[in-house]
Amino acid sequence: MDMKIAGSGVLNGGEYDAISISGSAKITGDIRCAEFKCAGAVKANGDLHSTGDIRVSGSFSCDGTLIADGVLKVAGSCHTEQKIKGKEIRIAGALTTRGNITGEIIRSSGSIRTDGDVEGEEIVLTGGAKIGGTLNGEQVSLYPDGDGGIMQIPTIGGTTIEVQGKGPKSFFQKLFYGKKCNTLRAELIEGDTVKLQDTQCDIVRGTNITVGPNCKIRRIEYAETLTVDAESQVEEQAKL
Amino acid sequence: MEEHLISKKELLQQYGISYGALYRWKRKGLIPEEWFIKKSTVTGQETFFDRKTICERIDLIIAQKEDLALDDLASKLAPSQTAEKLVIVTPGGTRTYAVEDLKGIFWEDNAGNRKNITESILALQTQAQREE
Repeated sequence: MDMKIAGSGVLNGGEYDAISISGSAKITGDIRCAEFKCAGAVKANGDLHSTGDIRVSGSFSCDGTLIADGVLKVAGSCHTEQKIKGKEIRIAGALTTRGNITGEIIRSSGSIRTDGDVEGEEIVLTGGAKIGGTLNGEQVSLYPDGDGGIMQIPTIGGTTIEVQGKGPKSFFQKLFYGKKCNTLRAELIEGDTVKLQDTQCDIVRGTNITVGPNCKIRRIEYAETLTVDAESQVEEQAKL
Repeated sequence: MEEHLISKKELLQQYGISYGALYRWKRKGLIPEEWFIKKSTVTGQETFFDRKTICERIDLIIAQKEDLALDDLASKLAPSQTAEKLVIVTPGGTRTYAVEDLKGIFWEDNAGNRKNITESILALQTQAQREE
């Protein structure tokens, strides 16, 4: 059964085909559906599982888990209290959760915040990010950018990790944030190929490491090659 | 360092595996999150594993990865969904341990003294089951 809410309404938990909400709605109970679209303000107090896509272009908050077997697309704000899972996750707004975020492809050009881990095969984050746990990906590309442009990720691990601060630093950004703007702040980065720019990190470990400009790293441990730009500071380095 | 532990660095060197492979196996669930033990060392924070458990698992992955896709291997190695688990909930997230994997549950006081409370926890569970 398809379900459409235009205006204001309450949707009870259960199984549906396509759900489309344009207005304000409250969802009570767990939902399983073939497709979910919302373009208003929606609050759910259970889990939402779509066997297809989930598209949020307004404000969506959920006390449970959010699972899309297809694409999870957020163009507004989306908050969940538990884990988020999608085959592909695309964020152009703000995604916040207290749980883990898992997807094959995770692309964010807005802001992403979680108390847990982020795991995916291809992870591309542009803008801001605050991750409480580990970011683990096959190909990880991070482009701190935007208002303040600070990414905070304690641990990053994967095969290829690339970091590059994006965009020019404006006068006001420099005034308020100094060298910290458009910068990644991490405690540990571990990967096979690691290319860093605009990064502050305690320990970087890897096989082939390239440190570009505007980096401040306490210790680097590498297995094969290490290149450090003259504009960056590396306190200790060790070849394993 | 305690002898039963092996550092991540030592593990990678011993088996000739890369960081990428280790993180991939973790993502696929071949190495459970709770096996990663973080400790402070002179060079900074290091990750350790229980030597016997991790070596057995890496041997198995290396031996079977030619014949089985990683996802198939993961579902073969995943603890049974019906297995009993101990779940600990903190503001930072939830950690789940298969009861059969537990070697001990300890309560540490602020002086660092550890008291083994495994039997008490298991007794509480048995009592709760009886009351049900």
